[in-house]
Amino acid sequence: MSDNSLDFRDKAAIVGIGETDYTRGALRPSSEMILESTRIAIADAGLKNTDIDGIILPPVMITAEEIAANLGIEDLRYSASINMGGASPVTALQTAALAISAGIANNIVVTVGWNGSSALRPKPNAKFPEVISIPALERTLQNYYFPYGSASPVQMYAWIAMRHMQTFGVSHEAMGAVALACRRHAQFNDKATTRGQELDMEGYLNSRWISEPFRLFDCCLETDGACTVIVSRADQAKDLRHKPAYIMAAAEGHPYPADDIANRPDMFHIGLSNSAPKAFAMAGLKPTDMDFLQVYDCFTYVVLLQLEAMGFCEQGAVGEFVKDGTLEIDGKFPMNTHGGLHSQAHVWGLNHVVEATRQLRGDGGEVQVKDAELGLVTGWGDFGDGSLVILRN
Amino acid sequence: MTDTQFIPNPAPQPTNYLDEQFWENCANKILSFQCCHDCETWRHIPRFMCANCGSPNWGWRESHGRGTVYTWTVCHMPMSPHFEKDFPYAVLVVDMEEGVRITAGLRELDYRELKVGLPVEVIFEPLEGGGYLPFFRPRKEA
Repeated sequence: MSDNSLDFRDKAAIVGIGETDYTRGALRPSSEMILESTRIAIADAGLKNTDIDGIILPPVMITAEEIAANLGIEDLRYSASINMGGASPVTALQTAALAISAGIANNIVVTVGWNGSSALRPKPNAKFPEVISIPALERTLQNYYFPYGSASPVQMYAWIAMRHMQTFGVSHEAMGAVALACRRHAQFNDKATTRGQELDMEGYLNSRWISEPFRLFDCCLETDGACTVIVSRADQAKDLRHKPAYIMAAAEGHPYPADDIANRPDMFHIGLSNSAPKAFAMAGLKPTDMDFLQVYDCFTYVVLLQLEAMGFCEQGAVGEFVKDGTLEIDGKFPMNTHGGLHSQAHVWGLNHVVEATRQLRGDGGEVQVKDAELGLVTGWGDFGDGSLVILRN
Repeated sequence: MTDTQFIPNPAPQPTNYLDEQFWENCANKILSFQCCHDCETWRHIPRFMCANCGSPNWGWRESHGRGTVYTWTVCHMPMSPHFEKDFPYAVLVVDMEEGVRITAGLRELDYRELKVGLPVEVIFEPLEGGGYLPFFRPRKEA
């Protein structure tokens, strides 16, 4: 960190968490779900609606103004939109910690919600079709990717994954190890969409191709639902209802160029390659200090890329790293103990932050990581933006 | 109601004159990229400034149309109704001799024979509503 950087280490904490049910086929608009998860999170924290003085969210589905109007917040002191796709929620934690440590706000809502199943690729009877705008990428997509039928993230991240596989000889079983860990953990999560649907390596390898090297079970779920966390001043957090999850460090990162995957000098230099060293330095910790990992898992290979970018292993060695259950609850680095986007729900990874908070409270249930004191959450979005937060109890 | 991420139009949709000119050149079956007037660095996708030296001065230069396969994906599940008749299909990232990379479709090769480093060359195919789209096929001559 440079000497003049604002030190927000341990100045803010996650004090409240809220989730709606995670479904496929919600019968209500995203904005209503976002407000429901926000009500739950504020109550979980033991705060009142009017204690909220900051709101941070991605620029879709609802505005900070609308949330404030619903909650009766007459003096909203801070609001921001984060435009990093699925990396937005973790980046929002950095932004929240900054605003709190600067004294601008005391209790900040970080939220996201969508009808990602019923409205994104609209089903015939979708009641609430919705549009996701991705301004940072639209020009590239419309001119240079769409005309060839590369229209969806699964097809674009496949370019990075295929190049990595071809370069380092990473096996499909390594990708499967990510899928199996997520699916195993989801069996213990009462909100997981895939609870009751176990998966073994044979089932994984037999699933159909979507966009090579991605099979069906390399891909995350599509979910209708919403999620909220409350970030508050650390010095007030300890007097609230739950054991706080302190934000030790956070950083955002962008690949270069961020708006075109094809022309990156090094395709494996992702956003997290920039943000992870900053966050670990701020925390004064190294990857192997973590008791658990919640890693953004839109596709299995994206997890493998992030594990390498964070330095859990040398570049190209991730296949060795993940084998023999490393990422499972009884392994060395339990990952996505709620099932992740892969097997719990796709709520832009804010559900990963909720799970990390639960683990640090000791509320992990059957998948509680023993003596969990330190954990990380990553975000991945747009064309590979990447953020990292390190939490402690 | 449309969703721009998942229901694309197969024709390019220029949003500024740089993209327009790139596609106009393609419409004349010319694959061109920008080249910086000051430092001679080629670039793609089109941009107003040279990221190497910061210069706003540039011109279009015709590419030799030759490159090698950098990476690819094979799409088995069309995310757009426009491609349902053609799948599975490959989408390549091609490392051009000029030092830029371009995304494009594959022609005249079974996707199972794709390899990193495979030499390819550009060909043009007409678009439904006018214009041409560059594709790549295995290189015929060295």
